[in-house]
Amino acid sequence: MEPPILLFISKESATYHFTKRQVEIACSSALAKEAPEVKIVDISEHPELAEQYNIEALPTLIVGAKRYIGAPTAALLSTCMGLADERKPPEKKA
Amino acid sequence: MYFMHPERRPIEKIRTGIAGFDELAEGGVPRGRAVVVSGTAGSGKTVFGLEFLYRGAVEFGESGTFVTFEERREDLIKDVQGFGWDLPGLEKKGKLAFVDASSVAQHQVEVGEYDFGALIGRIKFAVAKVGAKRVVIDSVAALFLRYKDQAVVRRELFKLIDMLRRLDVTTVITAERVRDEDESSRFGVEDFVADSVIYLYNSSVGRERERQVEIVKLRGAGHQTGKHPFLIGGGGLTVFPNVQFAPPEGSGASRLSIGVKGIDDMTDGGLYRGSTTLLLGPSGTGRTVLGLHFLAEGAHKKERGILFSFEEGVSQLRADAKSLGWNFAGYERSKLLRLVAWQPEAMPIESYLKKIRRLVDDAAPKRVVIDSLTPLARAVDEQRFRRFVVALNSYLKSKGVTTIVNYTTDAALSASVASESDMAVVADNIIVMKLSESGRNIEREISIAKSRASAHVKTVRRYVISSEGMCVLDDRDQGCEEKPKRKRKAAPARGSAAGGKKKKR
Repeated sequence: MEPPILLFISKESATYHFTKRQVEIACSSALAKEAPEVKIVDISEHPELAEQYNIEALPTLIVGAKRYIGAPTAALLSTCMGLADERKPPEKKA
Repeated sequence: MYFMHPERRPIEKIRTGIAGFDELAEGGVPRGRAVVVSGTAGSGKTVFGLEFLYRGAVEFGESGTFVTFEERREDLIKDVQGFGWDLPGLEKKGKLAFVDASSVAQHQVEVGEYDFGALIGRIKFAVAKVGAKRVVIDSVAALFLRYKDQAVVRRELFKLIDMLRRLDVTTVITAERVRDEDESSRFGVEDFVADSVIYLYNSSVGRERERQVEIVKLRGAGHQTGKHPFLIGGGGLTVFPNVQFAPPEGSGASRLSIGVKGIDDMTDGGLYRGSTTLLLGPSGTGRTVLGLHFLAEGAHKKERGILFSFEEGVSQLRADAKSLGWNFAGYERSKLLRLVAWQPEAMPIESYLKKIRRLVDDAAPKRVVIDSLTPLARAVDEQRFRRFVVALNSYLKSKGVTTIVNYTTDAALSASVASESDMAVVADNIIVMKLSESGRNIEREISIAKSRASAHVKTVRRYVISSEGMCVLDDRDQGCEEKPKRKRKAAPARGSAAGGKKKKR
């Protein structure tokens, strides 16, 4: 199984709806069918995961060792999903 | 105060628990508010923050949350282990929680709009987990360096502080100043928390480093002004309030002669009235003799003095004085002098403070000698001794007493090590006396290690102790010929310099 792409968001953020919509667009594209899932973490429900992954800013998109800060566009998400095989699992804190 | 809105409650303060700081802040820091602690690198901001939480948990039953952006949790724990603070123990008991934001993602790109919802969420979560009443954020400068959009960082920090205020937690936010003289810290952190600002300084005075704390403003409440020295060591941080010594206007007349020939030249005319002088040296250097000189000189000028002795007894002191030609018993009868000798371990250290206060209140002396503090320091732990020193010094200062405090150092201990001791921090002047071997002779040497607000001779001078008392030689090793007169004689031929029978203390 491919390691998931992690996307940290919060209902309380101004970028919440925009970001959700971008994920929907990216996932609905044909390319996404064999791509790994984008796992969405709402930190207003799971603050402990924000601590575990050392997240400060929202949204944060974690793709392997890379972190994208700020609301991602659908195009960025698609690109990340397309590059799935070059990824390593997201870094967890010891 | 009469402009205060009737509905507005007076500001309630909480004690930080940092020794001496709450006296400076006249009770502590405003509850439910944020205070900025700003200082240069290494000025003690992080220890200040950690102690605020540690004392809160241990002494006041208030849990805390430490948000770290710089040092890792593990390093912070190690940093304060030496103070005897068991932070992991407090974590286990649910009295302390860390939010560790110290690691920085290596590959981080900003691609769109963002906020600090996750950071704020983490802090909120940690505060709720332990029921924190105190929060430390160390230091927010990191956020300005990690994120490109400074306006966003400011907006989000404001949100964070607002959130903490709503939770009614008291917050310490550390901020970094580039230099001690800077008016404000990097990124203008004070602007977010304009209420309360504390500055820490770590400046070098000659070869010594001097740490100082200053409360710049404290929301809606009184506090002491000016810079006050503090120490880091032993059980944490200790502030020494009320010790600042402002040299009186028009100096000359307000100096007190020590009465030792040659020494007043070294101290630029004597000791400032109201100053505290620490006399350091191993035993056998004649520190007691110097103290007796100081009191005899005072009595001679009809200035009252008290000697508090923790070493020699009263009759021995009288005999010592007599052998040097002073009639102490006579001075005592005419109420110019009071000799008090106590066994150092006969009472708790705080009781001596009370007794000293009573005697000083009654006699209103101009000069006080304490000979010496060393037995008291040995009798109690470091924290308690510090508190005693702080209280004693501020009391004597408030009375305008000029004080000489004797402190015995190990012969092998260098003056620089000794001058980092607790007493040295509160002392306005430090005089170091020592013995050194020179061929087959033992030479006595004296130097001024510190002299606040005064010019002083920075070289080491030799001195002799004879039946005439103590005498400091000038820079050509002259000026202490036998039977010295009040008026200085012309310099005699070389070689006859260190005259005078040497007498054991």
